Amino acid sequence: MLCVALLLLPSFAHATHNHDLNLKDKDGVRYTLPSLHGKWVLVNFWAPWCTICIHEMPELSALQQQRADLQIIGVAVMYKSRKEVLDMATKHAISFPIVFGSEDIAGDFGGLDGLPTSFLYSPSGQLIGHHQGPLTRKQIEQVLEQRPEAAALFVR
Amino acid sequence: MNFMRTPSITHRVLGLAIFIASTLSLSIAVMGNAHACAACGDSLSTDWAIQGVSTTPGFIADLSHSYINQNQQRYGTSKASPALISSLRGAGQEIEDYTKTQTVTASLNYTNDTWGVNTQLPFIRRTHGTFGEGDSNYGSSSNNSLGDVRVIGRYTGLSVDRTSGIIAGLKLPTGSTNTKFSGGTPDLINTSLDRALQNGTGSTDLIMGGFLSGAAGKYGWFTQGTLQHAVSTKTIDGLDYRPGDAYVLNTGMRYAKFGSQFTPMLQLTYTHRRPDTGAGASPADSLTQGPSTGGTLVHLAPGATIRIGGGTSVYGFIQLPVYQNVNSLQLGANYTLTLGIRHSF
Repeated sequence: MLCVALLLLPSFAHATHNHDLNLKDKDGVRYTLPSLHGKWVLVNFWAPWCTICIHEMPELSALQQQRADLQIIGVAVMYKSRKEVLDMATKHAISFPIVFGSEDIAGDFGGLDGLPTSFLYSPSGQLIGHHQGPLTRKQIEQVLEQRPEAAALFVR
Repeated sequence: MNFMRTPSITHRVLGLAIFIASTLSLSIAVMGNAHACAACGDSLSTDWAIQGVSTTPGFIADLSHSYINQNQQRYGTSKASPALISSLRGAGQEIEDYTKTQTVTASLNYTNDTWGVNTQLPFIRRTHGTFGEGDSNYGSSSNNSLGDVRVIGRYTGLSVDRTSGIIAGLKLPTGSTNTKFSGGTPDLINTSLDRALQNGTGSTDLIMGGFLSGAAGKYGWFTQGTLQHAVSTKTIDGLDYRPGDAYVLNTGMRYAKFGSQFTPMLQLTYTHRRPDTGAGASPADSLTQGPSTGGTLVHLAPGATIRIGGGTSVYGFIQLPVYQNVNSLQLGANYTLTLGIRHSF
């Protein structure tokens, strides 16, 4: 029976890809698309050793403080310890929720080719696309305002 | 565009999480095999289970099913000829016919930042047949029972990047040791199987070892060495039995990006097991008077893991023997198939 189940399960892999995000932050607060309905959602994968990611943080923090219609969620991956992540969050005064990520969580987003990588969801919960590399506050604002020049920033 | 594609040292560890978890599953699956046959099944390390390193803090629950059909007569490094088998039998040696083992193993793994523990509960279904002494004696048995539970700890705080660690644990004597022949000729029915064929060894074994891991681009590798030694044994009907020490070296590699849905893997396992000892151990070779258990084996195991989302993965491996050098006459298998599912939370 186990064998049959195992043979059938991969067929569901594609169906579960890009499913409703389900992330629990370091304080135990769970974030799902239904719970964030009406807000843009930016899921940002980063790592403590990733200098580009760290340079991106102030921009994201400022944007989070500025916009109530946006929820940024930082997913830390490839870290040595949880303390390292917490120290980094404190040091850079990160204003958005931090999730202790894993390869499984990255897998739910289709895997990562590098860092930082961000995934953007519309207020209705639709995946707009992902962006590889750092983002500026201005770039994200342009996307949220649906400016044509920013349309290519996030790709499916 | 700035984009950090090169894994850092930390990536070397953390990118291997699923790879390592899967090798754990593989090793769990072969646990029962080790007990199925005094020597042939031992070629696959029960010890790799101890590695169990998942570098992502949290729990991993794993359920695996393995199948091995040992039906090949082997002597030394080659297949045993009918003439040799006939000579051994003529000299009074019992000849094992087959041993078919299915093992379902449930395990729970907990990982902290620098340490972790893994507990494995195997349930073993084994059927076995043996030609007994004499011209027409034959016995068969079937046993469904719990195997030997393992509790393995690991520490990765020796190095800053956690690419190395030490492992230590115990194999507990929870498996049954009283299976008897239930079919066959009257002379054998209700006589006990050899200790090496029981689902449990009756011994408490200490398991010690260490491991290293690394990565280059999207290739990750892992290697581990372990020693398993019985520190406490069980005497049954006045016959003591001590399973031979097992020395195992495992290495493997995988190819995948971080969080990939499909992860192919390849593992190589070298196992050297010393002969079992004690009055309850299998009798010596009837021709050479040398040991009839223990040996050296090398297996190659291609496999793959597929993430199905939400922290759940399925995996499969097939283990193929590439070198076998067993003491005396022992049963070998063409392959061992392992399927499993795991969930991290």
